[in-house]
Amino acid sequence: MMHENSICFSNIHQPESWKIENYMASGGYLQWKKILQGQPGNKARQKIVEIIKTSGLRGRGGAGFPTGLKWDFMPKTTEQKYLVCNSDESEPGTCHDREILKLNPHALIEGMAIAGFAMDATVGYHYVRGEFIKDCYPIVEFALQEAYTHNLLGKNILGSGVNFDLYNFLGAGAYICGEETGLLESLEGKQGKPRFKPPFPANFGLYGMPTTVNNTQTLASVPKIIEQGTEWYKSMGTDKSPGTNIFSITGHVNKPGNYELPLGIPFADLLERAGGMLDNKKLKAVIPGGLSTKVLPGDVIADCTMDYESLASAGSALGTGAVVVIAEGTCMVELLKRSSRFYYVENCGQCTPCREGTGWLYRLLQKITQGKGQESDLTLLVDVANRIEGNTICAFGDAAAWPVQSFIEHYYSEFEYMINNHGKSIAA
Amino acid sequence: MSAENTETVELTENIKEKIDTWVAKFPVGKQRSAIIGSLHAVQEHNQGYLTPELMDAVADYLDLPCIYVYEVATFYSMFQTEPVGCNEIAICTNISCMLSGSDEIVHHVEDRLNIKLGETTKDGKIFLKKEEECLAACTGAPMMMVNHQYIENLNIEKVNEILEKLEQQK
Amino acid sequence: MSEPKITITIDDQEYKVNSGQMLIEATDQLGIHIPRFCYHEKLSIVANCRMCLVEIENSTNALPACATEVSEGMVVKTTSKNAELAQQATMEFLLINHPLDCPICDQGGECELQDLAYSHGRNESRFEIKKRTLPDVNLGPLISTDMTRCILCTRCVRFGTEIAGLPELGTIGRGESSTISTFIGKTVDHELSGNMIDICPVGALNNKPYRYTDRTWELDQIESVSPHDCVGSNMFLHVKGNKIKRIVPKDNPEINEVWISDRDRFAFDGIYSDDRLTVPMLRKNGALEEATWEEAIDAFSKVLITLQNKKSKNGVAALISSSTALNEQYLYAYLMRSLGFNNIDHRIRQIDFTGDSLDPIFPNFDIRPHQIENMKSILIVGSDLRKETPLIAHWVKKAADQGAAVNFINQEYSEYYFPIDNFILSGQEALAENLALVLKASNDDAVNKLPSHIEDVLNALPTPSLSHYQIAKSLANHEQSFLLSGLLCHSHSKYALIRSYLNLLSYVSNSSLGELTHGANATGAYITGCIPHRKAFGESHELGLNALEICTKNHQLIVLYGIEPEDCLYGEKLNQSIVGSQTTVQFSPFITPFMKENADIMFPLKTPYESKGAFINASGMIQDFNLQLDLAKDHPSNQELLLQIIERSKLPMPSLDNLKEKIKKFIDETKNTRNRLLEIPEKVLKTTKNYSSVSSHLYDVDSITRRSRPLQQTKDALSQFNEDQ
Repeated sequence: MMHENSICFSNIHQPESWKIENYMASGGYLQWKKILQGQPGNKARQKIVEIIKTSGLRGRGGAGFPTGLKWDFMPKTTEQKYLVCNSDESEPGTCHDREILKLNPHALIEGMAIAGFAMDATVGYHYVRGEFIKDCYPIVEFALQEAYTHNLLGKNILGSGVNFDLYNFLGAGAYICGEETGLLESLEGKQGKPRFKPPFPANFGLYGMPTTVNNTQTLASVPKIIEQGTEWYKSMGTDKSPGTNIFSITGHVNKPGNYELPLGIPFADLLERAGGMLDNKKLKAVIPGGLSTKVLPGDVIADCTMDYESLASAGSALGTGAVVVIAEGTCMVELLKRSSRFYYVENCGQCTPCREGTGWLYRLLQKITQGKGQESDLTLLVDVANRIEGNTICAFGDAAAWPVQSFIEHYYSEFEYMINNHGKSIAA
Repeated sequence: MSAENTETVELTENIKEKIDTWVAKFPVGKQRSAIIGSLHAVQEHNQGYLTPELMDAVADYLDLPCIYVYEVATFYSMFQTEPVGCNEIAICTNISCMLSGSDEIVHHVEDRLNIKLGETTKDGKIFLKKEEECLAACTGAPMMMVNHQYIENLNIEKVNEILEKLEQQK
Repeated sequence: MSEPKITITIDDQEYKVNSGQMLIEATDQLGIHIPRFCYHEKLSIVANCRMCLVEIENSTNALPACATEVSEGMVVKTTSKNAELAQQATMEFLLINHPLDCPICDQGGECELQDLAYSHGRNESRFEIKKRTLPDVNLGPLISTDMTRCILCTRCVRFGTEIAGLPELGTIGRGESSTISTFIGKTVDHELSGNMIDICPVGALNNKPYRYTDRTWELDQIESVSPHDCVGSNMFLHVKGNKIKRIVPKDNPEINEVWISDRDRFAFDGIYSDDRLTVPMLRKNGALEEATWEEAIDAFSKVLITLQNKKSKNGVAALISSSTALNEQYLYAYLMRSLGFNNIDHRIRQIDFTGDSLDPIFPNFDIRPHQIENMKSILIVGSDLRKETPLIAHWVKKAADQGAAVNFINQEYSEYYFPIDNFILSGQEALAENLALVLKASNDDAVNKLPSHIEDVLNALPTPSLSHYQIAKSLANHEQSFLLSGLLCHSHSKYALIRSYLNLLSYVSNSSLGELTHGANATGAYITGCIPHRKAFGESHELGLNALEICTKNHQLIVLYGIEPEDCLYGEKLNQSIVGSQTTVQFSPFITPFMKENADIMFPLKTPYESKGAFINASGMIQDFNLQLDLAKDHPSNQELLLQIIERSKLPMPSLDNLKEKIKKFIDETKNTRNRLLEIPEKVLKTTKNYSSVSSHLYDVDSITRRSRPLQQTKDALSQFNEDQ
């Protein structure tokens, strides 16, 4: 397929693609060296920020915020600034950052070096989720060592006067550390409880210093964008959603996997790429961007293209690009209950609506699946979800509310059936 | 700043070195950032769980109030603050894995080991962790971690093989 | 310097407010109520309760007033439908797991959750599922826990970290099972920890000794002042009928802010001790028996008159507690001096009196407690500050948190929860010398140099070390610098020398000076003449015996007013003096086995918790304490008792009219004219006495505190016994 695997996955089919010599053999670190050998001053920094702005690259962690704009928020002062990479991939359904770390870690390292330079952040931290401790963290450590050994990181890199030190950091199992300020708290050695904003990390970030937090895929995209230019990048995807995205396609498909494809690809094409529906079953529903995005019925998403705008206007979101495909015969009530359990155990406990509300939602769903539900429970579920949404410190509250709202909106009859049939599922 | 009602415990030189490596990554005076890495090192060395004495020793070594360490140890789900079996199995049961049959895997393992999620086998060899996070290996669903090694595309046979190997360990 | 003013609209009304503050601060000043739990004016902002959500124009979601800064043209609605919906949502969420404990919860009637549930809660709950519970923890003898009631506002956690400076409590766990705890069964031990009881907005943390005894609406509230240290912390006594039930802080921004120490809060329990003296006692035929007030006063006056006629110079000795009310001190001194007895003193924890002739009119404390916060360089000499005066340590911490340089010269090391620049560990012997070395270092670059004869003295000392120079420099470089001497200094065998050095250092470095004194009213004791070398109002007089001399002699009559030998640094000596003296008279709230054996006349006293009076704190602020309680039948007030004794002793009745005003005027006048004596008399320099000086323990400072059952069960109190063993 055209433009497939053209950015983060551009070299992953090489054997031992994670090794620095293989990365360099396909042009890796050339962009970084060019920058260092040019006149690496403030003008050069701003130039890179402008390139990323013009490219239209948007944050791939779920929020889709324009990356160049985020970089531009960093103050142009001389105090210590930090760049942090968010590899705390934990959004249910999402597993593409792991693949970048395993197969193309140097793209991330180079991306961080360039981004660090652009924002005059001389220290970078790479926050890796704790569960990767034996999986891809050793690879990331190895790659970091290689980069240092090749004098591509550290002080006065290649005699350019530019400093950039990068450190790997391990989390220890908490979804909420994927929220950027929760991540900063965790990096500071505390519980990963998000901070209220404002102030934003660009003004008050790690240790109170200006900080930018970007997602793995976002940063790993940077070297290729610099290499190929903004026109090339914008030639892929759509007007407002340029470039590629790695879609993690899972659930009831024949070939679940991570596919780097241009944004704007029609859903049907994406489904085909993933080998079509498992056992030739009919498509029932799709959660298009990770658990924290609203579920869309099969017929609705069939008309969508996979980009920020189309999915938003359909009532959901691109999120992390984690596409969970649900076939006919699946019980939506049980699925919602499992989803609610996730938010119930993962909420940090800091603010009232989440701490108390997510447990309420989960217990109501348990009540229904145990055959003790009443019709009024459905109105109550939606009302509780509505009361959590918008009232919390961070977006976790919204994320907890959306599955409840969307599942009940689109599959009310299934819930009703279970309530009227003492816990029996309509799908059974 | 260490506890008075727990006995003090000395960290091994090896662990101290590991902690020092973590501390060196952060600015001077910000050694609190090293707590998570330190607890990983200590827990791994202690058969997969933390004790109050070990946590106090970490706090002491990092020159921090003990409560800072306790807060971290009880917040993050990878840390066990009660004794558990020396091998950890964590089966993912979030949506992608659920849609791919994770619940059957869980029931099978529970039956096979004769324990429920969250418990340890009688011989102390296997701890069946109640894993409620998504482990970010969804394309390989259903999957599980065995001592943090990712094992994807599970089926009953594969699971049985792994369990046998663990049971045969000394 | 005031912040520029901006215009904002709140509930359709325009207001001019200072910029640079959070919305909730502005509305609080304007008297517009926004509900809240986690916000507290003395603690950092966390915005986690979500109760203060208000509607702000141009924002999709309701925003927390505590974390939203005011901006020009901001339009706020605090009670609009959206604001109310958000606030009601929070209230509903808080109540779903909160137990319906009101009927058995101490907080009932003064509970912020109750109040807001009334205004923002539903009539019925929609939550028909099992509530979650959280385990209780044992935080020690002072604070009870019912953690299921906790709403995780984290005020207590922030108090520990920010005010006490010692994080003892944390949030353990995650999500719904989050709970506030010390985690592994540790207690909360900081000397200010009781304040967590006040700041907890619900009944999760309550007053353990007071638990289950009363309802808040049954209590009367009387203003009072702490009688246990020289800070003069303001408090409210909560009284039911004739009994004090509990004590809470009274806000005084200049002295104690909104806090009191645990000692201030819980010491009062001591007044209900089993060994309370309720009727006068008289020794008849070898045994101490109950007597009537008439009999006792009669007997005492007879002894006084007899000894007055004998005119024996050192026959009578009178000691008085420095925690006695102003009027009582005045009357006691009047009684003794009018009878010609000059051996009167209150300084029973002092051993060096060689500097008496250099004494200021009353101990120096140039500033008010709150002004410590503005100091940029502080030197603390001879003090276990946190345990001597917890609230002064609090002000020093505030200064340090804002960047002040804090230095110590002390004989022992103790833990402080703020950065210390230099801690010179001098040991007992070298305390004075180390101070002198700082003085020497200061004199090097000083603008106000020392007189040459003082310089000669300093030249005989070794060269100051780097630390001494750093401290000297720190004091010199900052306009706002402060020298604080502690209770250990007072008890030091070279106290006079140390004080001379402090005076000199204050001159050379242009620093303010503050001496902590024992008890609540040492300043009053000086001014009323409860000292052997001066009469009331500083008039010089024939010199009498000082406290140490009194305790090391036998007398024909020794009178103790508000004192037990345990209060005295040389208590053993005082015991011997009591045994060896012909007649012993004690005025005390308590009766001990020793006094039962050895006293000849005993008068019951009302404690400052039970009688009206006034104390003067270290800074010279005269403050009233106002609770008057009836004790046993015919029990007169202390003042009344002394007046009766004066009358029976055939002396002219003194006038107490306007005494307070006179004293206030006296303080104001002399404060400005007091000059610090830049002298070190020979005998002071040559002091070679060497007693071991020990600070009285935090919970052993006076007879009331050491009888307080809750305080005696604290870690601080128990560790004292381990040390003694």
